[in-house]
Amino acid sequence: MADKILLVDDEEDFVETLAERMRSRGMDVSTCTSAVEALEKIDKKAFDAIVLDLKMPGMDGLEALKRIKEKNSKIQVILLTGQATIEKTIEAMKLGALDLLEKPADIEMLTEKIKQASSKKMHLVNKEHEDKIKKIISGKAW
Amino acid sequence: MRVLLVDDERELVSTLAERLAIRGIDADWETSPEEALKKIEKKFYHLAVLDMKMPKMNGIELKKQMEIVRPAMKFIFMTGHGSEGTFKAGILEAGDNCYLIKPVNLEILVEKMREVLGDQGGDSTDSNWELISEEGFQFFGKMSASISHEIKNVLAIINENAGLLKDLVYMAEKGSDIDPQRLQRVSDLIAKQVSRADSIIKNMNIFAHSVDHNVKTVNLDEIIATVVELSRRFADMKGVVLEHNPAEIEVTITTKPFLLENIIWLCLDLAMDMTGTEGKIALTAKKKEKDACITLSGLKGLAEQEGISFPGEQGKALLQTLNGKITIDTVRGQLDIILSENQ
Repeated sequence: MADKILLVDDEEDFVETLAERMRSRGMDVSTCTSAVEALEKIDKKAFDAIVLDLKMPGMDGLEALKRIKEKNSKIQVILLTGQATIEKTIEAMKLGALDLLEKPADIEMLTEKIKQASSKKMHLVNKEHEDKIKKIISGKAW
Repeated sequence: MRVLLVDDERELVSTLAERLAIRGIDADWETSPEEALKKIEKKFYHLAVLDMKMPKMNGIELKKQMEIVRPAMKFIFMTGHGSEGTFKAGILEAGDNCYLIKPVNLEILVEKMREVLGDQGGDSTDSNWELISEEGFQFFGKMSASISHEIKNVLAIINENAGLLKDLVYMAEKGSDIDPQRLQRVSDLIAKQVSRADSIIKNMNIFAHSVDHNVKTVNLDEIIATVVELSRRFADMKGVVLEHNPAEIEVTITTKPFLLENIIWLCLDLAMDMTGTEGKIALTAKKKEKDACITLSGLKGLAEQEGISFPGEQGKALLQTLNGKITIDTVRGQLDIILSENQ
């Protein structure tokens, strides 16, 4: 099954071109240009990974990251930034980002990160299922 | 004159500051050398009055550290331990006129302060320039960082389109047809970004050249346009629209262009948080008798503010050098920068 990716960046020409390239690599890509839209989208569709711009008007990437993780801690987030400072990188990692990439990003590297993200999510989901099953099994008096 | 008092005895140092304030001397105080060092990094002081003996760091060591941050700062030492050794060390470091034995007679302290500062006791040009240059560097740095960020976005889009072309070539090699219209769209997008970068860089160039002449006769609307373009990204981030309405009749003034840009930016920076729900700032220039005036309107949020401390010290120094003033009308939501000719 194709990885379901959400691209979030206020530069519309950037997200659209990147999305087209990712689709040609077999990914199922949705796009939006603000963090608020992104939060609405994740309510309606289950994404494996979100690629998020750090600096956006209104709600910035870090705030969006925090809210995404609050909604669903399993979704993996990769941040994109114009200038990656050490402070921002640390902050992003603390908030649970999988990685932080500097723009202009190399698509092969981004694809690699997305694969990592999706397998990490898969692992988390499997673990959750496993835990649920274990709980059911231990709860039953066989 | 701005003075920082550092002494580990809180009662003494706070009372001293209060008594100096009564005499019109702007005095802050700290009880720890570490805090004092942090303070001078953020704020400019003409002079520091230091206690010789403090825990962790003595007055002479503190002076050395402070001089790294503020090389032009002057010092007066105080000591309660009038031993010959400390006295000599103090004199050696500070000169005999800068060394006082506690309890300090306030009149003598004030006299020493004026003596040490020489001509630059008040808001002298020298101290203004220290404030102005600090603010100016920050302004220039902030704008350069913002521009570099925006150019990176342009590059990121061009980079994706170059990558897309590569993908299309790869697909063509594998036998897919290339859609000419698809190629046209890539070309259009690249051209759009090149023209975007071009206008950013043109404005950056105008901004960079505004430091060429210390004093110049300028068209006020051109200066406003430069600052508005520089600030646009900051405004976008805050969801604020900047609207520049050029005057019908050209408003010219002989002024210091870079400093004027700096003060307009300081006002815009404040204004962007004061637009209320409307989120729009209009900028206009007009002539007011002999003076020129730049008006920022739409600042509906000003009415809800209590006691705005604006402009700060840097802003005040800029205005003094520009021969200008700022008036804020909280009811009408308007800020005026009024400038007189500055030869």
